[in-house]
Amino acid sequence: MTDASLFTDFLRIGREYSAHCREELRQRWERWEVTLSNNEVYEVLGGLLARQVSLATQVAEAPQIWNEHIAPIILRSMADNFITFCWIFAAPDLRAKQFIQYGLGQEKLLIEHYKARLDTEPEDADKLRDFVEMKEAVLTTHQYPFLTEVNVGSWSGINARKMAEEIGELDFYNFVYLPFSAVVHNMWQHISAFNLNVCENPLHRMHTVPIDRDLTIAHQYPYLGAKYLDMCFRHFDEKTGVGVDAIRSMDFLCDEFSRLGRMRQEMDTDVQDSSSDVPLS
Amino acid sequence: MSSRRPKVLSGHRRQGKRFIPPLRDLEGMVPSEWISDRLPQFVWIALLHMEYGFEEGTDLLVRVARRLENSHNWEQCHPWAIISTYAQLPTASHRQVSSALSSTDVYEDISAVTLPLLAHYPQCPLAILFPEETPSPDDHSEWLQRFKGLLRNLFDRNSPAATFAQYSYMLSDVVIGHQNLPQGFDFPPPRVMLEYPDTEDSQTAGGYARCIGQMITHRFPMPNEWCRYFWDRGLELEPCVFNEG
Repeated sequence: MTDASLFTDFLRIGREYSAHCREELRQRWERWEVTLSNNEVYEVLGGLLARQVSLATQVAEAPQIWNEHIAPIILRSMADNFITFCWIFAAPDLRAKQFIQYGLGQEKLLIEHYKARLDTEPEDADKLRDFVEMKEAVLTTHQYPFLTEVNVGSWSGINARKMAEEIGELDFYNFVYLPFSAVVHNMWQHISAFNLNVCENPLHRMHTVPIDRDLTIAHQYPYLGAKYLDMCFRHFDEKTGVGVDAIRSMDFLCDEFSRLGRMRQEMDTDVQDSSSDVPLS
Repeated sequence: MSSRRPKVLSGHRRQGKRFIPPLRDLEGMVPSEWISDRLPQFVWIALLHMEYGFEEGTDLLVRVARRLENSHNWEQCHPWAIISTYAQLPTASHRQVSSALSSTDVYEDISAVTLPLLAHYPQCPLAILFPEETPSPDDHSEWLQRFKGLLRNLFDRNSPAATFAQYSYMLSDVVIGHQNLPQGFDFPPPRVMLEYPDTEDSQTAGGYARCIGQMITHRFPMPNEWCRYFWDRGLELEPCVFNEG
């Protein structure tokens, strides 16, 4: 089996996996007893769940990013989303509104920054004015800007660690959220491993030199994406009592990867597993 | 087995969002790096070992110590076997110190080791010991490859090469009376160190040598010019090398 055909197989698995994820989402939404009088709760939680599907499927359908440069950035977003999702579910009436208000306030803040820029950068004024008007119109569909509060602190009033602690997921925070944060924020522990290469000349005291390293495809990343989506689905089911009869998308992904692995072994294909210090949590 | 996990970072002192480890909390502790701040100081001694072996190299170092003992008031200065010491010597002492060496039986042996180093690192403070010499790298073309092999062994400060260098420095300082030993302390002889790291006695001796070796950084101003020059010069001598694997 060539690398090209392996890549094709990964793409096929990714597409089919995505179809299963969307079916799982669709069934959950349709079977959830939604009340429009409390629509913020359903929209926030439904939106976050859909967001998790988007992130998982985008990862699954892009094997070229299954490496330490990019995948952890998306997985960290998924980890953050899972914590947010569970935390809101713990007190949805209050927290869903808080989540929405914060987002609207951030949009208002951005619009105000652009308006201030209009005063100082007149060369782009027309385009900028159109953009500001469009942004304000969108914001107004949710709430009048002049009635929108802006909060420059944390949207929940507490940090991610505290949120994780409150929902009983401190291990998830310590072993997933935090390590992946190093990749998101381009911290030393990440770049020293993946963007610096050791010079072997002892006269140079084993210094390191910048490198944009080619990394091999590692299928642990779509697996982790599938896992974090599955965790959201399970939490949703537990909280709502909703049951679905869709194929469990995570099971599909694992089965397909196992099958592919067996085929590779049979054909004695040399496909390297990437070595990394990314946690397998 | 307890189901409760031990508290992480216990023993650290919390200061806001920082957790300070116990050793960093000790008063007077100044962190220094072996590779950046100390290894270059020991290359002269390590070169003696590379050329003559540990026992003979150490013996030569002790003989040099005895020749230089009275050439200068080393008490007021710094450890004589450490390269940066020679940058601290007043100009008035240069001729005295170099003469004390040139007229002795150890001169040929010590110059065989030092001149190749001076050829490649012309600003090395040891140059004051050989004022009449202008060594050229072309005369020591194979030396650099051997030196690179030695350096590789010195990167780990617990390695035999690094430990032997620190031990010999300590021994030479004891010989000329610079090292105050605790009463009743049995200074480990070279034959004990030869067994390093395979015996407990040699490991103890090595630990003591590294402890003494660590203290040299307190005796020189930081950043150290010789250490800085030594590493910067490496980039001038050769290009980088990368493992293609």
